[in-house]
Amino acid sequence: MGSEMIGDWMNIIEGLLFVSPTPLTLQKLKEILDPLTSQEIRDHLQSLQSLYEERNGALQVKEIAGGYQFYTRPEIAPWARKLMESKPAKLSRASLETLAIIAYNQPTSKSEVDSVRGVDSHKAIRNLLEKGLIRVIGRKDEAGRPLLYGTTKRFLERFGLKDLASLPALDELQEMGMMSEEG
Amino acid sequence: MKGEGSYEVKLRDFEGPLDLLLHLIKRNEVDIYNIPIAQITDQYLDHLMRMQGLNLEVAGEFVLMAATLIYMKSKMLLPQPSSMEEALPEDPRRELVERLVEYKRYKEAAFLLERKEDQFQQQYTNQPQYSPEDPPVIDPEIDLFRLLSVFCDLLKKTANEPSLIIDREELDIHQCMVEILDRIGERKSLTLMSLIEQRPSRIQMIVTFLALLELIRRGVLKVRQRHNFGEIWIYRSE
Repeated sequence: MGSEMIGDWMNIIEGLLFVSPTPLTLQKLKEILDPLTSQEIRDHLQSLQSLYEERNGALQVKEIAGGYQFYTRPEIAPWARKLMESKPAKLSRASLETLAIIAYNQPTSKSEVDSVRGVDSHKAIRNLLEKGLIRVIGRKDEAGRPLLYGTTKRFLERFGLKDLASLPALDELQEMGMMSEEG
Repeated sequence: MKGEGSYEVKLRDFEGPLDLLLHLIKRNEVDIYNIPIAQITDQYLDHLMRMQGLNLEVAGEFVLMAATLIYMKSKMLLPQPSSMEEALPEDPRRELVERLVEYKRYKEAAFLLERKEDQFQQQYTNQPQYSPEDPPVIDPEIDLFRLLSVFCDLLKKTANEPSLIIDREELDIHQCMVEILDRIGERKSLTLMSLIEQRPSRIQMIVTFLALLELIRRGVLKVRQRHNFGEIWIYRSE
């Protein structure tokens, strides 16, 4: 297999990434690019990523929510914003706190969220469910069988996370100290 | 510690009693593991008073925490039995400190998530990766709740559209008969036109007509027409 062939595969992957409406998973790529192994596809993706990096243009290939997708570089943001305009409504502090607790402790129940926050989190949980950032993933095996919540793929997509493991470790957070309070 | 008068808390929304306490701890630059309970309790209560003064609703959680703080304050004022030295008496603040530390971690995590979102929003893709207002048609993570909320949205949307469904009016002939008799009342007569004209819908006209026929059949009313195509007059039978 010559270098031209490798280039071809990379071009095909590049084209697929361009066309795909959602992050393209390795699995999906493997289905489409039948004879290629996962490792080969990963290698091509890697080459593609570094190609775009070297080019230092407007685009980058990012790994988001378990898949690959084209994104503009942050430097383009001021102009892209004018084009796109609509921005999703910001989450309230209550929702963000609730989301953080669920993200780090999933599966977790409402009462566990309540006890950490020291207040009722009913509204925040509803809001997060409606936005599709969390979902019910089961019931706890205890009295009342409370619902257990976990984060969704959309959560990863919204926060630009590759997977749950790429959430910053809570211990690191502590070392960073209290950043959230205003001065 | 600053002088009594200089202490000031800008009123803002706190997510709950723990949030308010963290704020006070930071304001006073005190160690979270060695909270001066008396001082913090006073400030906490002061804040609650201000909230009430502004007619802000003070949630039950805030009041409960106030009670906990006062309890701790009183407990710490009591002299410790120093003569008998076994294990160190447990610090009454311990449980609160643990809760505060845990809450603080997630508060920071929430802040970090927000920052991550902000950063990530600087990067655009050629397709909207999400849109809370407009959930995608195909959602691999669809669950009952999601379905329900989509359904509710649909209901809301369709509620504003002019619908072609015709509501069936529940019309009672007997009710209508009573109404006709009321209309005629003391008057001797009434034209059929004036009776029917006031009926807004076709079905109501029909029912009124049927009621009239029924009254005639029962001999309560009589109708008369003076000439062809002339007004039809309705009379009460004597």
